[in-house]
Order: sequence, then C-alpha cells, then structure tokens
Amino acid sequence: MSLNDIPVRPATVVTGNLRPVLHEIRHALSELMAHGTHGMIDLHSLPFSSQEYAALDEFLGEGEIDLTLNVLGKTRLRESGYAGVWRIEHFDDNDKRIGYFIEIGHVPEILRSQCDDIKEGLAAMTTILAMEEDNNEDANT
Amino acid sequence: MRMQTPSPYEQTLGEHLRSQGISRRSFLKFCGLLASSMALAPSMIPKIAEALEQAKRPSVIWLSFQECTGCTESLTRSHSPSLEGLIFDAISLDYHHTLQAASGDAAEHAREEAMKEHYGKYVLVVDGSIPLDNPGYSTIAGISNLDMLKEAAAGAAAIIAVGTCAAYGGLPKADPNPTGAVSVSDIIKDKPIINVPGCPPIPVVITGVIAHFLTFGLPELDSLGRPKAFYGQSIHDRCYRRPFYERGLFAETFDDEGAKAGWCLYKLGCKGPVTYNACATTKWNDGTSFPIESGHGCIGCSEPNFWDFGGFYKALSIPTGASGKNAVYAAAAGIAAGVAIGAMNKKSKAEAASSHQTVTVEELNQESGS
Repeated sequence: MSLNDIPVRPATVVTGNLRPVLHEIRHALSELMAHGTHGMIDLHSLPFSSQEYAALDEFLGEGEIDLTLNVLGKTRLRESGYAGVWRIEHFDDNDKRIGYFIEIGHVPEILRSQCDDIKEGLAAMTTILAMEEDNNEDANT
Repeated sequence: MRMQTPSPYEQTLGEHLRSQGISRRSFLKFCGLLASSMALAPSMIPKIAEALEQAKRPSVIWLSFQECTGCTESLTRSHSPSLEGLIFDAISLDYHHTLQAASGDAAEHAREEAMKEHYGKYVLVVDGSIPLDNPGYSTIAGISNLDMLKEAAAGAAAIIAVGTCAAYGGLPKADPNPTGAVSVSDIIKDKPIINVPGCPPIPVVITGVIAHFLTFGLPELDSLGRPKAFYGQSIHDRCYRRPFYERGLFAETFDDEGAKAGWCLYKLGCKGPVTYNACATTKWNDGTSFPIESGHGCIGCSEPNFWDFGGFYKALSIPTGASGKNAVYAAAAGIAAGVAIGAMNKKSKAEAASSHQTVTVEELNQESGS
C-alpha cells in the first residue's frame, strides 16, 4: 500500500493571499523602474495553498534564464515571463525546499559576485602575477 | 603571507562559517533563510549578514533540569546542513551534560571554567523546570537545580529558557505538581530572560533566538516573555485550514469525510486559536508538515499550563463536560463571535485548568452527533 492509496483528498482551499502578493510584485516592479529599488518578497512564511502556488507559477510564466547554484544545497534562480521578476528557491541537501522568495531586480542578489570576494580575488591575482614575473626574471638571469 | 589563525573565542561568526568551507554566497543564502525564519523583512538580510559577519562566537552554557531531553533532541536531530545546525555549530557550547564527552568532575570543571572566563558575557540556556519542594528531586553533581541556576545566572548576559518546562513549568508543573516545579523566570528576576516555549520548541526557533541575540540584541517579547518574531501570531492565524473555519466546515471525527477533505479541526479540540507559535509557517521534520497538516489538532504546547487545559480533544469554546449538540452550538457561536472568541477561549481555558478534568476514551472518540 502506498501513500496514494490512503483515501485522503484535501479539498480545494483558497487563503486569499495570492491576489495581494501579485499586486505587491507589480508595485515592486514599478519601484524598480522608477527608483532602481531592489525588492524581495518572502513567500515561505505566507499561508499559501498548493493551488495558489500553482496559480502564481502560471501567472509569472517562464523567462529565458533558469540557473542552479550549489550553495549549502541547491538554489534555483528562474526569471519569470516578466523581465526583472525572479523566483528564488532554496533547497537543502535532501532537495527539500526550505526557502522561497520572489526577487525584483536586474539580477538576483545571490548571483552577484560579493565585494569581499572580489577584493580577495584581486589580492590573490596580484600576488600570483607578481610571483610569476619574479620567476620569469629569475629564469632570465 | 601567512595569516594568523584567530583563537575560537576571537573568531567572528562569519570567519567561523567560512573556515567551515561556507562561501559568501552560501552565507547570503544562510542569512536569507535566517531572516525568513525570524519573520523579518527580506530588506533586513544585508543587515543580518553584516551583523553576523562581525558577531563574536558566543560561549553558551546549557543547563538541563527537570526535563525529558526532548528540547535537545529537537535541536540535534535536525538534518544537516540545516540552518539550525549551522548556527548551533557556530556557537561555543562549553557545557551541556547530555552532549559533552566529559563527565563527572571534568564536566563540572568545564562549566566553572567557562563561567569564570566569560563572566558577564555568556548565554545561559536552560531546559527543564526547577523543583522547589525538595532540592533532592533533581540534582547535577550533587548540586540542586536551584543552586546551579542561581550561580550560572549571576554571570550570564542573558538567559534563554528553552521549552515549556523552563519557560512556564511545563509537564512537571502539571496538576498536582508533585515536585513544586517552577519556571526560570519564577526564580531569576535580575537578568533578561527570553522564553522559547514548545514541547519541544521548533529547532530553528531555538537557534533563531540565539542568532537574534547576537545580531540585534534582545528580541521584542510578548507578555509571556516570548519573542514576537516567532510567537507573534496564533497557529490559527497562519493555519492553511483557516478558510474552512471561516466557512464553518469542521471535521467531526478523525475519520469522517470532513477529516479526509482536510477541514478545520476546531471541534476535535484544536488549540490553534489560543496558541502562539511558528509551527504553521516553519513546520517540522525538515519543513515537512506540522500537527494540523498531519490531521491532528494543535495541543497548545507553547502556552503556560497546557497540560491542564481540560483535555486535548475538547473543543475550545466548550466548557469542560459539554459535548454533543452543545459542541456544535458553541462552535457556531465561535464563528459568529469572530475576534471575541479569543477572550472566550482564554476564559474557558482558565476554567478548564482549574477544574482539571481527565480525558476518557469516549472523549477521544467524540462524535458531535452523539
């Protein structure tokens, strides 16, 4: 007997949270256009039924980009059919979704190279180039 | 250039996490999930990242008194790499008599050393209630719980009372309270105390409170000393079954058509309307579900005296002893009353607590039509 054999069929439920979230996304997108403000909506702690998640997915549609990062488990970044609106889904090592955000911006924050990493990379690159030049000078003498 | 490795106590949390191989992108993900778990706006994520990056690894002393170890199990059984696991690994847990390898004198010596070295700075976590009737009811290394709590509290920066036993007395305090059990806040009056109730509490709530203390200091607390970020809304407010409650659709038994369709469990004794906790959003078992999602009503375990509410299967607005048609009327009145139901429920909860009636098998199988 599998789980599907258990005769439990949840009735359709509507929490009423979908419509306000859609308007929040539209508002954030207009803020991005007007002032360049980066927006983020946390869907994880909102009561949402599976039907409403499906309706949200259908409304947003699919864009051109679908990326998966390997950071503390997988993170999937999907641009929606509306440019600048991204779905960010965080998963743990067992591929369970542990976070779900809608991000409104040119690029999701997590995708940008972090300033401290760039600083460390620059320092490392400078050291390596200096060492190579030293080695070349030694080889030429 | 060779970098000097800082000692564990000088390390910041950011440094510690990176030394564990956690990249800055992973750290950003971690902070995003942390903000989500603390019910903070996503705009707070950069602030959390900045504060955590600079926060020093705290020394934590964990004391276990009259308890079942369920709170520790809740925290340590979470799957890795979980958010709570990462935070728990990032603290310096200097004393926890269940988890530490040392025992006997060596364990107690570790506690004394940590208290001396970090006097005024360490975080004291307590799970379990404290017996006042007879100190011999619960001792550690021959020291009574009361004496150990007072001594450890004196040098603590803050106390986190984990679990309903430490926060409000819990099961040991249930009528007739044979050991004279009391909560931490009944004894300690001169230190900030954060209550993290639940039987057990949600693991990420335990670590989230520690993270909040490290990043932004003491969290805002409700009238029962609980952080509003996690306990600000009732289970009922965030329950995905609430639309059924609004429409008056209730399961009458645990296996009727309403139960199979996932209707509201209010009439089967769900304490969601008077229980403040994050179960409905944070969920349990790696985010799988929470009790109501598994078909059982909330038992109200994060509320004081929840063992003495009058029965896990008694509908809230029904006075103890009422059943059958009265239950239907009471539930209907509850729907119509709207907000007023909260006050009504609190009253019936208090009445139930004072009468303390036991639950029978018949009540467990209650049918509203009977």
